Amino acid sequence: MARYGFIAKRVAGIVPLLLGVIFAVFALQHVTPGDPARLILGARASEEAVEELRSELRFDDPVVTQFVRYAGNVFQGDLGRSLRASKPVTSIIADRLPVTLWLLGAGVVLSLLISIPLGTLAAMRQAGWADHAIRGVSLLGLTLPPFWVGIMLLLFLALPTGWFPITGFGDTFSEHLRSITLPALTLAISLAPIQIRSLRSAMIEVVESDAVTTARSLGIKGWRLVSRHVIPNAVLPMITLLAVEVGYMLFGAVVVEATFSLPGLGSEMITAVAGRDFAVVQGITLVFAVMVVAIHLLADIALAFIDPRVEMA
Amino acid sequence: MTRTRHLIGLLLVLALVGSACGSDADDAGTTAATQESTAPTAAEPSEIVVGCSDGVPSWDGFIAFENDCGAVGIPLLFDVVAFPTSDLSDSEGIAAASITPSDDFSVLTVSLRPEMTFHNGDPVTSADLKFTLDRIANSEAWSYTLGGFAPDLITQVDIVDDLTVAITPPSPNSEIESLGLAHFAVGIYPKDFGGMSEEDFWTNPYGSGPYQLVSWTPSDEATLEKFDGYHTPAWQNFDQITLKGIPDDNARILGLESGELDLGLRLPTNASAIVGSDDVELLVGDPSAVSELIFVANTPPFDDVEFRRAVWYALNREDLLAGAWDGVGNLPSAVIPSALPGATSGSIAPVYDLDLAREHLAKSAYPDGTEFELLVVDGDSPRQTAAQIIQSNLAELEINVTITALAFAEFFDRFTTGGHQAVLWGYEAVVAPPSDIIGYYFATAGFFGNWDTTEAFDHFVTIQTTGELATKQAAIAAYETMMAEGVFAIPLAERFWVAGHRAELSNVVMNPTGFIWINRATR
Repeated sequence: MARYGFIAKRVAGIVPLLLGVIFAVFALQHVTPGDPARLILGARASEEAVEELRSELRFDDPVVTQFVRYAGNVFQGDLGRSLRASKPVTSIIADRLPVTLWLLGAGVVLSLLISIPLGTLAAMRQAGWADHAIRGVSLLGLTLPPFWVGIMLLLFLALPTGWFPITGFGDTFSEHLRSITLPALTLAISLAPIQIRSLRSAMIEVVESDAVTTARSLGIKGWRLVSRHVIPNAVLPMITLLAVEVGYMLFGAVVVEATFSLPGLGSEMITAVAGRDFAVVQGITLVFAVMVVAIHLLADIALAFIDPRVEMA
Repeated sequence: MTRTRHLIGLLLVLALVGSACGSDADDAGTTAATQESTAPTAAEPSEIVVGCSDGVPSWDGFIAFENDCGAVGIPLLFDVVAFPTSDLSDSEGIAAASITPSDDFSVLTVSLRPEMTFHNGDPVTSADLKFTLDRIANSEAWSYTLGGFAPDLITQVDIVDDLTVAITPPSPNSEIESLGLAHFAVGIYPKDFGGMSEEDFWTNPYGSGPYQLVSWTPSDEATLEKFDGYHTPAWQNFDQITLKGIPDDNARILGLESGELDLGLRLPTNASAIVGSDDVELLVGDPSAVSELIFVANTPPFDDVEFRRAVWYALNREDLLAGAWDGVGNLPSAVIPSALPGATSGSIAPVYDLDLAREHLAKSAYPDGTEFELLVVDGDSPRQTAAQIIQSNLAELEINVTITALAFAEFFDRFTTGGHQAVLWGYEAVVAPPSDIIGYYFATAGFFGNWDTTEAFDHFVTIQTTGELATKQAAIAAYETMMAEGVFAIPLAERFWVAGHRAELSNVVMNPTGFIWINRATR
């Protein structure tokens, strides 16, 4: 029961957080230097046109009025209209969110496929050549910017083999899978090093714990020891780490989507920023922020169910 | 035994990943092999895929104005009235059967081709053209698209008969055709948006162009297919055209090299050093943009013409071109890019001469030097580098330049409201000068309020009201001489567009503004 109380408290705590997020997103437009109407219309527009747009978008209303209106609209699912595409921002987000979710999902899966075996191997072979090599490679992975990794994958994998498309997301499931592989691998290469290092540290700690010593004394060893007693205990910090990594992943998704021309929220964000489409920028920022908050909440809930000690916190 | 299990586990993981890629790889390999082994025949539908830096955000010319996919896509969906020839020296009728100015340029009569229809089968009439032109003339938004003074360009549009309209400018204007009509954004749309709301129309647009819209994801991908009822089948060389937004320059080049794209627009100017395939041919355009150092000429220290002249001679533009633009470009001769009609011979190009610079500075109100602030856009790395070179050049004259890199929004705000002393910016031709330069001048009250002199205005009126190219060029030359003597801006580097296409495409022609008629190419 205490577990559900903990979850309820966490959910309740999100409400002020979301209000803060909405305020921050609203403030984006107001802290950006320059006249938004002028920025939208450009240098060649007349003062009259700028004034007309300012009035149409109600930029002249008091800031508090604007915020109340904006927050009210957000809670009703209205994120405004895109000036460039002449359609609701929610519709643009609905079109593009699946691509970003594909990318994030595939990126996480690939990163775990890389990090769990390598982290485990490094921990089990602590201070051996495999450990040094894995730590060295993961350190290298940390230093590589995602856009560069993406370009290299395109240049040395996609172009010579023809296995993967250079751009786009395709139309069918199979095409999606082919299109998402290299972008997800790019994202995974940037995520995996932190996961490997975290998992390695956690596993070494677990391996040296009393529980594992007891298991060993009972004759459990090898893969059985690792899979049943080490990994389940060491993987808990990974849940928290993944939640923390979400923000970084979203930033990475913006870069990776642009590099691979994936029609997701990240590439739309870049287009909207370049086109001064404030409503779209605000809408996507809000979605990103809500995703981060939601994933942290899910991580907390998952931990509450997996680790009884969380209830004590 | 434990090691064997580890190995088996790892192999299983690798096999899972490999199977996903492998099966797709086989498919891809088969497709590629099929593509290579079967050359397109007349019976097969032909397709072309175009990669742009940004997908079509909207089919409304105002919104898609600065968008490369929009620029090439709008004239496919909507029949434009006329379009500049590839060298920009003239225009050819597209929807227009004839465009006839009166002798004194006070009225322009436009006749549409007979038997034109929209994609839904409705006939295209003069009422549709009037609706389109009235929207331009009455819209501040369109005013921006057309150089900022469309409301001043068209006073009235009268229907003469079912296919003919008479356009009256506010004053005689020989430039109205190239400025107001020969523009990609002036595609004819149905009167009253075919009974739809404006919003619905732009969501599901139709026109009378050679291609009709099949599918479209804004700012991403659009597919158009051949319109069977089009008046000039010779302008429909493909059955299907796909426009893909690919923001990353490298991805567009790799897309060309892989054969995923047939045509790539707005490639980086150093593309020739990047492209590694003989299957890709580059199109390098003539210069159509000039980066400039622009001053506020009525604010100290730039209100002193001798000071401006000192700066003019103190800048080493060869260093600027090499350092800031990697040597890719030309030394400009004037504010009008040299490849465009109306540009002058280059006799007024600034020359780097430190002694002359010192002489002029000695005659100015600042013989011992002074200081000023130079604004640049943060992240515009060529111009930021250029600012540093300018700072270094002017330090020779004890002129201290404070470089302020601003976020685009703040830069723009200060630039357009006159809250600055000097900026690094540029002029980029959108339609053929001199029309464009005139529009730019008027729209910005003399390049952002800095050059507004009676003499300049007289030159522009001469350019606008004469149909003789020689007279126009003389007026432009006089204007640029005035510019040079008064030093109202210093042209630094001249830039151009680069595009690329697969070698199997031919008849791909790019005009100086970077526009390519995709449907005129052939495979």
